[in-house]
Amino acid sequence: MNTMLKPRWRKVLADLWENKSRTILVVLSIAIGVFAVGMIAGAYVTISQDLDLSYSMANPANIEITTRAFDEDYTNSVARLDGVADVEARRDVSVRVQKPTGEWDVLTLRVLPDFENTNIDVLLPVDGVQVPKKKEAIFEIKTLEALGAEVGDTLQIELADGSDLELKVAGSAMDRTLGYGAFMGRRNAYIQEESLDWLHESVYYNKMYITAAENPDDRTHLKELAEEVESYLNRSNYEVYYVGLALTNEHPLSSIVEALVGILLILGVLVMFLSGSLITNTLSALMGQHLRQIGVMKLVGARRKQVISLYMLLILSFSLIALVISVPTGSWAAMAVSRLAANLLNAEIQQTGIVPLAIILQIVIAIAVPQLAGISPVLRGAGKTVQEAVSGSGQAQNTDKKGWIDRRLESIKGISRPLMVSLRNTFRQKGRLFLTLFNLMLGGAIFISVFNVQVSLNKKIEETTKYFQADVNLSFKQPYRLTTVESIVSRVPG
Amino acid sequence: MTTKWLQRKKKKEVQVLTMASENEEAIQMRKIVKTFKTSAGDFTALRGVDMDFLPGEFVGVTGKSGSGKSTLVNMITGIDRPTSGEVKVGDTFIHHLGESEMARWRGQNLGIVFQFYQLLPMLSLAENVMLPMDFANRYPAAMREKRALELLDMVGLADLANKMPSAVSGGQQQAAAIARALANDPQYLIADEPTGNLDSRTAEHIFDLFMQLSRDGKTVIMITHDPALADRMSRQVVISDGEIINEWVRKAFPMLSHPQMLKLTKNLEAMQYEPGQTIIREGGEADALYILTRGEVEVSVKDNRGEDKLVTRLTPGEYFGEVELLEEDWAIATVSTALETPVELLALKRDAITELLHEVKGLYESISRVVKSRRTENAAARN
Repeated sequence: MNTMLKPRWRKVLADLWENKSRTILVVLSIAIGVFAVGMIAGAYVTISQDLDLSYSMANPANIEITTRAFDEDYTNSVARLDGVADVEARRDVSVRVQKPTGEWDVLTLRVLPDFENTNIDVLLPVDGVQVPKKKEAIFEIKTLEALGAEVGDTLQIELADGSDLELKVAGSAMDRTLGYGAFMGRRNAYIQEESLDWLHESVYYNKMYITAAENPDDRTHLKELAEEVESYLNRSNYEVYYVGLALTNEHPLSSIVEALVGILLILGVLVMFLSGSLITNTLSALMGQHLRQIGVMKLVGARRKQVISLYMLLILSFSLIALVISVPTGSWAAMAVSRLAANLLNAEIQQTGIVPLAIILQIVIAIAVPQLAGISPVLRGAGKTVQEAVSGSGQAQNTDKKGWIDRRLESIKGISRPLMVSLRNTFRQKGRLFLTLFNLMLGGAIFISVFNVQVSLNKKIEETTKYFQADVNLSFKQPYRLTTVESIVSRVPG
Repeated sequence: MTTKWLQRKKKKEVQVLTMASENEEAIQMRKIVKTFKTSAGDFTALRGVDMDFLPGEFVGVTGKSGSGKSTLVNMITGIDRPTSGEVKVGDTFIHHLGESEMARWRGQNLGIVFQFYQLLPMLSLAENVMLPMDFANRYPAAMREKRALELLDMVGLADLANKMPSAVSGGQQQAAAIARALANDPQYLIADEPTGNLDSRTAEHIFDLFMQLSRDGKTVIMITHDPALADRMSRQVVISDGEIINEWVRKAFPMLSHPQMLKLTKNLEAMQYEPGQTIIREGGEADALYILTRGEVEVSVKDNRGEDKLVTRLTPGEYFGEVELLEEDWAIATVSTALETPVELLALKRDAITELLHEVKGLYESISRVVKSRRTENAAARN
């Protein structure tokens, strides 16, 4: 005999152990909901924090301006403007690249004036060299994966003039500022300025990456600063073809991702409600089975609150077992979801997998929801008089009052006896019927919600893809005004 | 029967059993009515029951199924509440307690034993015995196990203390249930057919345990269907149709059915006489049968010389007045109270018993035998 444990607590342990299938059912009911909440909350926190953090660690350009060709030194004059912290020049050269499988793909070669002293849109080295030589490029890690190439490979590229060259994959790096580009699968690689003449290109730049000295997360401020820079460029006879704004601490896709994870969080809460409902059902059945025991305990001196504490502890035990299962699995799943999202969005995950907020949320939900779900059946069971409990009927003073539904059912003629019995049984316990209907409704709601999220996501991706993709994509060696291009393209038949 | 002695009779409310004195700690039930509401209408299970149980008594409660004996005991255990009336156990009017207070009080003052043992199946016998101590917090936690083992030893289960209920026999489970009932050392033990589910040998063992507890000073109230067991208890309470049958009627006329006994009970009239008083005078009017419940009476007749001659002395449980009821309208002997103690009687009027004499052949024959015997005794005395 375990003398350390009071008999009533021994009963709790025995109740847990002796009906294993019931314990497993209740624990799984709780664990599934808590796992879902932990996974989604953990992923939500990780993604919302690390996505932005990863983005800001790259020191993204607050303002991206595309203009006509300029010399790198010209950036110094822009950098002297009030409110400008730093300016770096960039240029994109579009080529075709042949995959090892023989297929061709479009590759953007981004020219960086000085790899070693790049401070804006900083690349995160992954493999190989960090500074490519002439005829070499650092490939964006996802581009490398998509092409099926490895560091050290040499890839065949085709220039706009039709000439073929061999470009060496000297290293790989992660560009955390790609945003939609990463999402849409654009291929990027990074080259030194000295490779330009090898690519039959003149040495000039046409993009300015600017960071703001103050309020880098204030879109209004950035817009004003961009207008000042644009005005300055215009005064210097530099036409501005494109102006893009980005906050330092907000990943361009974070709002979309957070919205999606937010929807999943609501689904998690719905799952928790469903789980709570299942717990209520199971505990109602448990209290029904234990009525006689409750009666006996009351007969030997148990007060109502003692009986309540006994069964609430049983529920707490279910919760703790569920937590043991759902906290590690939820954290692991949160990490997996976060890494998946990070991989899709070219972000770097900093978290180690433990998200305190998610674990606290899991603990609170795992304890509170079952307690709330269980309180009603426990109070009902513990509130039975000894007479009701010992007789096991729960209805010592049954007055057999029939409700409207019962009277209606009795008035139905011409249906078979078994069907009548079945119908009456269905409506006999209104609480049970309500709970069952609630479960079915909630289950259906979750099912429909999941499909809605899936359809919404697909639609959003489709719309986004349409934004970036067309039947024919043309890249120009230098920027042109949109009206000029539209006028020329509209004259092409078809 | 003269008007004079009729006036001397002190009429009072019939008290079915001896009342406990105010100072004695006992169970007192007063005017207990219990009505159940059912779909078929109201059903009254107890009809104004007055009852007392004295400390140390071993009382058997018997009656047919549905007579109300379990309902009666449920009033004492607080399992159920009366529709009206009061139950006082010791100093506590138990139905003034709330459900939780009742549970606490019950745990400390009552030990309850059921026909089907009602041990918690997931706890060992020792843990079952410790459970009431745990709930009542009656003994220091460190002592509870020792006490449980002592109680199990007392009921002969020391070697089985760590067994689960399912691993022992029914009799052993019942013995463990008795040990559990004694866990908090209650003054009162209530047992609802504790031997009803046991073989006769095991039942005897369990009954002996209750006997011993009664000898040790516990008040034991036991529902039983077994008349042989009930006869071995210090007192038997028989209930019929929610009312208590007078025990003197039951003893005097055992051939009657319970409803017939109840009918007589309802017609009883209690009387008290001081020592030396005459109850019936020979040749006087006699229209009742008297059952002696306390004291002794002397029966005498006039002999051939006209002098009173003692025929016999009657003790409690015996009755007189039967000859006059059956054969004569006038008393054939004089009945006086003995000189030592007052006398208490229960009188049954001629109208109440005449109908039963016609209905129940056994009653008529039984009384006829007594009449014949008394006539023989009287005749011998006169000569």
